Amino acid sequence: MLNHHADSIEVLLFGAGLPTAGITTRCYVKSEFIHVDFQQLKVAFSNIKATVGGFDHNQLQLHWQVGTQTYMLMPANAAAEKALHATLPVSSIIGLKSWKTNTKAQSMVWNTIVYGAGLIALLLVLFVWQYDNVMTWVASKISMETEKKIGDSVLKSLKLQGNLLEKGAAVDAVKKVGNQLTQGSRYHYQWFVVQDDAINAFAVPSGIIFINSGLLKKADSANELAAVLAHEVQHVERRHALKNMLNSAGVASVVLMVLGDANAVMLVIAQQVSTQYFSRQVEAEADLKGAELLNQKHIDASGMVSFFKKMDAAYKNKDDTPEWLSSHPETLARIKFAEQFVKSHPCKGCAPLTWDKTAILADLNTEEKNGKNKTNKKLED
Amino acid sequence: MSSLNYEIFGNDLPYVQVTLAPSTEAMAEQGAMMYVDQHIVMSAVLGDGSASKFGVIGRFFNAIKRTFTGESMFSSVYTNTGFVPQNIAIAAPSPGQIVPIELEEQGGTIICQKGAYLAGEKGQKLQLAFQKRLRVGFFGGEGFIMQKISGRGTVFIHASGTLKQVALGPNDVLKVDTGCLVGMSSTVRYDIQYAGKLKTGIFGGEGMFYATVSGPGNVWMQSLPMSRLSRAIVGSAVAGRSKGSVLGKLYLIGIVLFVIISLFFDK
Repeated sequence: MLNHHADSIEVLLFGAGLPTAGITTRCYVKSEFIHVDFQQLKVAFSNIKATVGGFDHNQLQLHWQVGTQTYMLMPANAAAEKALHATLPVSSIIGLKSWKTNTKAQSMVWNTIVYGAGLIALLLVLFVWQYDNVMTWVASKISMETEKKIGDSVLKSLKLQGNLLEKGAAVDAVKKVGNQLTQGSRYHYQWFVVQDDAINAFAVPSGIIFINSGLLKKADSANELAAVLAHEVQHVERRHALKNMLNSAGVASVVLMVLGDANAVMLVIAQQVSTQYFSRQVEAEADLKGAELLNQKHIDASGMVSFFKKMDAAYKNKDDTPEWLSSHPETLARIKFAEQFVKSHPCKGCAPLTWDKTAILADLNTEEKNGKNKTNKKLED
Repeated sequence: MSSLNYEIFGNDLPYVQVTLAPSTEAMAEQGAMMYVDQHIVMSAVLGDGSASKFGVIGRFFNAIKRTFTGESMFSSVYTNTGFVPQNIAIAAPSPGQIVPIELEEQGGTIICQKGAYLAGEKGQKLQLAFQKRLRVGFFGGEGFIMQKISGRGTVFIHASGTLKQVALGPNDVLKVDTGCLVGMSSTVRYDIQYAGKLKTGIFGGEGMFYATVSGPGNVWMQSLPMSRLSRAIVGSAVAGRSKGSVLGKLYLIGIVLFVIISLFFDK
């Protein structure tokens, strides 16, 4: 420490005859030379090579050859490393540039891994959290043509069952109410009556709506029919069926990925679970939007209340639940909702809808008989 | 601070006996004690007993980090409460050797494989050293996590097999079989290298990669890694049982079937 220099940097010196852990000394840089306090070593830049060292692969190691002996110099701490790197000219020492890039590349790799993993985790959380919205968005991206194709194929298979009514007084009545509801919609609606005594109605993508004859018989007014239709129309408009399809496809693919093979049982379970997932909220949404639609089209929504009450009574009297209810929210809650909606949205100047119930019933009866005759004939053949 | 007064007994199944002066302390990993003298009081401390700038939560977090290095959350501190020197004996947890290392001679810090720490002076820190090079972490044989022991005085590390210390000068390079590395100074560069030829890699019996350690600094290696020892033991244990293997399997299936059937005839 005789000629102590003002800008000297604390370093560890390694070499032959020195301890394996090195000795602590100081050095300073002056005109193309590194001066080391220990033994007053003086090393030219041209003899020095820089390498990456240490367990963390970020230490700056400067080494040089004296005869057959190798000496090495290492900054004693992080601050010393910074200082030494700042005083050394990058261009005149071999390997100093690649030391910098190597250490930078390593920290970049880890930054990428950490931030990448964080981003993926964040996206995943966001996806789970906003699952409903994501599904709605994806469903909205499906083109009308694709939707039409799906709807047509379902319609085709239903037509094969042979109990669809495409014309007649019953279909006309449904059509009349339905068209009033769907005026100005982007969908081209088709209305069918299914000869089935179960109280049910359902919608297929692209605006194909089926009403069971049982429901028509049960309904006492056209307003009640309008309530059911508004509900089904909203299933179409909100693309609920597509959303459910996407959801089951997603669940099925996740199950496939986890299990590794298409186990039929698991797929069926996945299907069951996934169709249950949306049903509650989807039905509630269809109720709300359906009621709003009725209001918008100047149709008294009180038909909703009376029909729900009727369904509830039918449910209580019989052991078997009406089909239209089984997948739906609790009827009492729905009645409450409908009553509140009617109260808060009074329908001023709404004329009650009219329909010819006797004509509809007569039509349904004749069709029923025809159907029976047909099957009888088939049996005789 | 004078280093510990100790003596190591035994060769392959060793223990170390440390003599503590009155009111001095030593630390050891949990469950390693063989015996202690009358006036030695043992107490458990969280982690390595060192303070954290985040207080109790920081210490707890450090202790959890410590469990990833193959140690338990707590460690034992032995205090001599008497007026005469007292002995504690710490036994190695598995066949192998105990090596005393003076930390000052190694620049204050050494990096060891998981679970290498056995005992040492109080105040030494045991931290998690994370391997930052992906290829070394994956193929280096030690994984991504190692132990970083720093502080002053003597520390005892343990590893299976016979331990060998090699002092490396600047730029001295040693090729080591992956897994045989036990510890090194923090200045040692630890890397892996491809075996070179595909033939050597596949048929050489040493794996596709070997580790390279380059100086300056000390490295410690073991002749028999625990993984190799356990593979040999399990291999011969299975070989011993598998005589008449078909019958043995049928027997096992029979047991499983019996258990299943018994479920249906419970009462």
